[in-house]
Amino acid sequence: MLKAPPSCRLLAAGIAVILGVGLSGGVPAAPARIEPAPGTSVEYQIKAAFLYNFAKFVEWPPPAFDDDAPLTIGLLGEDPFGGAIDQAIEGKVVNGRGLALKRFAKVKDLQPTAILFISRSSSRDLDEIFERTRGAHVLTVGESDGFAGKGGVINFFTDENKVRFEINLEAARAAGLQISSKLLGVARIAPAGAERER
Amino acid sequence: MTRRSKPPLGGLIPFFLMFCHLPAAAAGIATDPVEVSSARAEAGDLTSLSLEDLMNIEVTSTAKKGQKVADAAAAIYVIPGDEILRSGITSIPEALRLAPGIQVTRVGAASWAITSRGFNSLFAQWMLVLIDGRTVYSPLFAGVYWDVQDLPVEDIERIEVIRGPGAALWGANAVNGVINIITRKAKDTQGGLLTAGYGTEERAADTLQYGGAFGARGHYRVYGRYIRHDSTVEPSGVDSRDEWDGRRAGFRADWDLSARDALTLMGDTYGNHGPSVGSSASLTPPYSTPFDSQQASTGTDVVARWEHRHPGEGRTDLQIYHDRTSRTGPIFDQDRATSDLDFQHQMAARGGHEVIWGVGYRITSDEIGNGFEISFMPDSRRDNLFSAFAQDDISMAEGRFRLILGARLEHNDYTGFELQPDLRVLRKVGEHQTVWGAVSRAVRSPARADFGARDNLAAFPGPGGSTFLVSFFGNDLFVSEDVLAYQAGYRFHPADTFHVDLATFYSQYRNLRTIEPGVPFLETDPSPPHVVIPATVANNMDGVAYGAEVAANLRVSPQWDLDCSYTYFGLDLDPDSSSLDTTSIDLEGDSPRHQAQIRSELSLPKRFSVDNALYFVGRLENGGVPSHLRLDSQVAWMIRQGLEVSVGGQNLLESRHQESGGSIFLGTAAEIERNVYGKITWRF
Repeated sequence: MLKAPPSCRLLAAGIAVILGVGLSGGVPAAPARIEPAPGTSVEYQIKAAFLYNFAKFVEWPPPAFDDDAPLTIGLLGEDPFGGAIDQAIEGKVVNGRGLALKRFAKVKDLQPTAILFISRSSSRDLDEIFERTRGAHVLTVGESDGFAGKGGVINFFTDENKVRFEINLEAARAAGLQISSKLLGVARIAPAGAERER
Repeated sequence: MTRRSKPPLGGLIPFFLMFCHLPAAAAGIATDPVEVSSARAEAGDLTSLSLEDLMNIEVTSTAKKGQKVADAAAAIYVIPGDEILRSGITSIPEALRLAPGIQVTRVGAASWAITSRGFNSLFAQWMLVLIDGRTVYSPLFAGVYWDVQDLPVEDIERIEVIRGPGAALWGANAVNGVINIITRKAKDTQGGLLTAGYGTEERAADTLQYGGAFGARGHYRVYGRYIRHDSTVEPSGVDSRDEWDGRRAGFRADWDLSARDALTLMGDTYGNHGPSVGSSASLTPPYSTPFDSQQASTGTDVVARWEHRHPGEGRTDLQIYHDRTSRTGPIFDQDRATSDLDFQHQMAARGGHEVIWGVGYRITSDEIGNGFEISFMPDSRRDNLFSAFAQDDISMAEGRFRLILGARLEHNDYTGFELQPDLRVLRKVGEHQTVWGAVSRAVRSPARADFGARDNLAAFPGPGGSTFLVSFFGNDLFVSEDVLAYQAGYRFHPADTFHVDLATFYSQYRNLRTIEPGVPFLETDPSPPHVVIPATVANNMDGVAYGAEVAANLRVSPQWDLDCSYTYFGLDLDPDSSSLDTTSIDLEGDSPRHQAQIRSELSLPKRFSVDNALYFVGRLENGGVPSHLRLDSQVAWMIRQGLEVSVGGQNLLESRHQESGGSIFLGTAAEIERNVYGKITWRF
């Protein structure tokens, strides 16, 4: 056991050093370089930024939402963003509307949102999710193989260590969404008829 | 007593020998390859970037401490390469301090004893160590020559540390754990890199590297490295004269042959040199011969790996490597050549079964330049190792419950067949909790020296002008030491910003090595005639180890990360009633009962970062090494993209401290001094 008092003093000194540095540093407002730190990651910071861009470059049919109400982004399942999404939308205005975030733990908790991000943890419930979002003008965004093929609108994938996404045009049309050519220009178009193969 | 300087070589009767291994990506318990970014972008909020820019940022995986690890039915911890850089540590053995539950004992400037879960000895290391799928476990003395495992830390993608037996997947000698060092792909180290620095102890760890592309599908890097370590000091304050320097060069090339095939070719060559000062036994007065000489370690290795992914059928890996090492010094010399072939097939998941299986063959041959003090019989030996393993990861209830059955069968030239089975279960409780349990058997196969070594440890005058010589002998009846380990673990990860990982274990060891005194006999060659007091290696001890390791990670803010861990360990050894060995039980006192660490990684505005780590290591009863506290700190400033300066230090709280109790083979252990350094890193 800790018999040596010097160790205790050292321990105290050490903790003071660590906390001292930590506290005096505070939580800086200015961005530091991106560290691939635990919890969140560059990957989800990129995905959060893409979600913001989707809000910017997709047009929803007018009756779907109240013009003044914020455009809502839903997160279904385990939140992999670790705060990156909150940070990405905070204070942002898109086409004159603010952005809001809603988190849903389970499929049964779902409420209508303009964008619905379905995290990997919920990817096994896709059929039920699409059942609920059908006809509701929801831009569904996933990150699992076959997401677009099953009827999701946009699916993230990783290629060459970079985040890419594919768009299922049929699903977008079915949801009444108009996707800007800017977005289509950088996306992969999910193979036509993929949905029928199912 | 004899005091050997440097490499553990001098060491006598080795312990285990590592046998099979398996290419890095294999293990179900290991994480999938984690893509690590070489690009560094600005800031947590990337919404100001254009779509095109977003498309071009390379990602890092979330898996590093989260998802994949949370799904492992093993006590696993992943040290990301970036954390090593942030810690200011410049060598692989020192970087292992970052992992919870690992005991890193620096014995001298060039020697380390590293283990988890006890049995920490320079000559009997029970951790299997692999670098990119190539084993670096020496079959001669059962352990790792850490001084030559000195890759540029900038190229390390991650180090996976698995505590507890990993033999079913990884091979023999993974008795107390596996250390799997994985380097970055060539694609992730493109461009130039220059690091240069100076420390009061770590005098140099300088790297010059360049990475480029071959056409559209291939990438490469080449590097050169220079390392210089200052000597340690003896407790008396006298310089240990164990300083050394090393030069190293290597390359890695990766090609995407097709969408499904990838080929990797990599290699290293190195040479380390330094003085070797000490004394060895002699049959004539004063019965001890001092030496003040030089020693050198050189080596070359080449690895080729072919990965084939087949949609719907899974993935196959074929790996072949050749490795040559040579060590020369005043006590004895050794040359070794090893060739290894491994094949494995990770089958596509079907009906809830994920099956992985593989086969391997290794041939290793050595030539020993015998000296009076250490000699091997025969002085040259060739050994074959055949192995086969399979594992089925059975997933039920939508992956919420998993049963993992695995086993490895090996044939080695010392003990014949060895079966190492493994059973694990994992259950997810709710969204945020995981419990797992495991029962595993692993063996430490005999090392070369367990069978055929002789160590003439000390001579002294006897009555009537006679001479006595204390000698240790190997024993060709030596069998494998084995462990049957029971483990249970619990993980709680309520959010991505916080998780706790607890592992507990109870391990039963059998046939542990003892050194049994024998009947003295007269020996006339070499002259003068002398009475040998022999001690022979045997398997006369059992033991039980138990303990718990808890690690927590808290992401206080996107800029501030805290890691803490605590390890409790106990070991009870039980020599057979027939055993006359009174020293092997001292192994109980080679590991601390308590170990703890707290690490803080803080990113500040203006591209500053401050990293601190505080390590507590409890008292070692063997040798009476007092508990100590170690503080490492680094402040780094990225002046502009690609150019970083850092200053920091290790062991900042004390001018020097002892980490090992020494041994009858090693003499007194040296003390490790404070290191203060400055370093510049330029990526161009």
